[in-house]
Amino acid sequence: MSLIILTRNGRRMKSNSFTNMLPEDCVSKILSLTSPLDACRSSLVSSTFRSAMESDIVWQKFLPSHGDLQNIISRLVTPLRFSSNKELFLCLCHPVLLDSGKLSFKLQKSCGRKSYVLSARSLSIAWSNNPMYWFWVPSPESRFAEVAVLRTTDWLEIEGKIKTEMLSPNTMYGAYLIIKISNLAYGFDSVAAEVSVEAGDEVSSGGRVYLVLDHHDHDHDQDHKTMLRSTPLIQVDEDRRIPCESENGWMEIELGEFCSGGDHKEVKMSLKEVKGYQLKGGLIVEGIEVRPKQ
Amino acid sequence: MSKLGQAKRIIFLKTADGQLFEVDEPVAMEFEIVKSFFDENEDAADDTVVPLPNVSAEPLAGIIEFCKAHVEFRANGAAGKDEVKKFNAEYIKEKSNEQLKELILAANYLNIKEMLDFLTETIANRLKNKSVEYVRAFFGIENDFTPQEEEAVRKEYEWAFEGVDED
Repeated sequence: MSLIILTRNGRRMKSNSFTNMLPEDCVSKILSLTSPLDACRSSLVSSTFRSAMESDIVWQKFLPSHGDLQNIISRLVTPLRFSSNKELFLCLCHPVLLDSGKLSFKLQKSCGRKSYVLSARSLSIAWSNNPMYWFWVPSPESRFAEVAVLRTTDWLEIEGKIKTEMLSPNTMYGAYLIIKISNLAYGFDSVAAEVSVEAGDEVSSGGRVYLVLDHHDHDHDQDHKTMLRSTPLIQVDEDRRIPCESENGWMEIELGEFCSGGDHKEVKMSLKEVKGYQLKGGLIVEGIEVRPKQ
Repeated sequence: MSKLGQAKRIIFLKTADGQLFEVDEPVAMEFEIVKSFFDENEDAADDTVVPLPNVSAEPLAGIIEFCKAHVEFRANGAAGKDEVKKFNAEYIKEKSNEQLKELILAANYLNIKEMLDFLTETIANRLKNKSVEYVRAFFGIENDFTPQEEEAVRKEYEWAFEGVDED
């Protein structure tokens, strides 16, 4: 019998030292099948893991697919500077503007799923071209160049559309209208606004929302704080929702949820209050956020 | 390589702990390391014993079981079907973390693509949402960072260290 010692690629090997550890590329492959969160955490395991985690193989899996990613990059308002897939991923975890600033995009850091904010300018807002009803102002508190301010209207209708192919597949998404309600707002407390999300032909979800603030809150003497408080003035009924405060000082109203699925469909997200006929005003609209639900 | 009309060929493999395995040729050829050896040495004697100095008997037996089943699945046209998924799920169910680690080390050394992909995915699923200590224990790795390096890594990825599963 003849004896041969083999190495991985079939060549003869001089030493047969047995390494009890996986090669770095193997570790990278394992990490690429976990999540960005797991990969980052694993960098503390050992120096091998740390360098395996930095690999482009890992982050390529967490980034959108190649064609999709190129498409997003080509629509950036400000080009990004990055030298690795990991750097690119982490850049995209902060919101970036696309499409001449009409759309904001980011990746969720923990899972790499996509989320967007459609600016007020990219929504259909009834009468928003008529300065009698709506006017547009720059807002330092907004990620977008301008926001829509409702002077007055009896017909409040705001609709945003997004195609599911822009989103991460098979993911439950929530749609949220991002607004501020001025403390001079009026006309919102008597009639609830209707919210709905339609994905393709089906109405995925709907409900009613009162766009109201708690004017009786005097605990906070800063005006802007008071302005952002959002508690109901009247007893809530079952499907009644009120705005809740989001991280950056804007409030968000959940319009509904939908599953992005695997096929292409258009999702319509809307809020309207067209039944009361009373005049209403004092609403500031930044846009509609579409993000994965936890 | 077996010649036409010959009885099916047996490949002899010898593990690090000195055990001799007799493996049907199609199964042994799943191991890229064995296949490329015979590709390069077409005149190798039929009784050539291929030593596998990085693989011990236990994981090799497990690997042969897996590859044998998958060779049969392919021959029966069952590749990619539920039958395969069921076999894979059963196969992995009884395996401890330690056994899994031994298997992937061996599969990596033998360079068995299909099995490696399967093990990689299985291990990734077992490591999801686990603590750093769990991952170290899983692979039997020591922390080789200096306290300063460790602090720096911890700071860089602060957000990633909260809310992991219990080990």
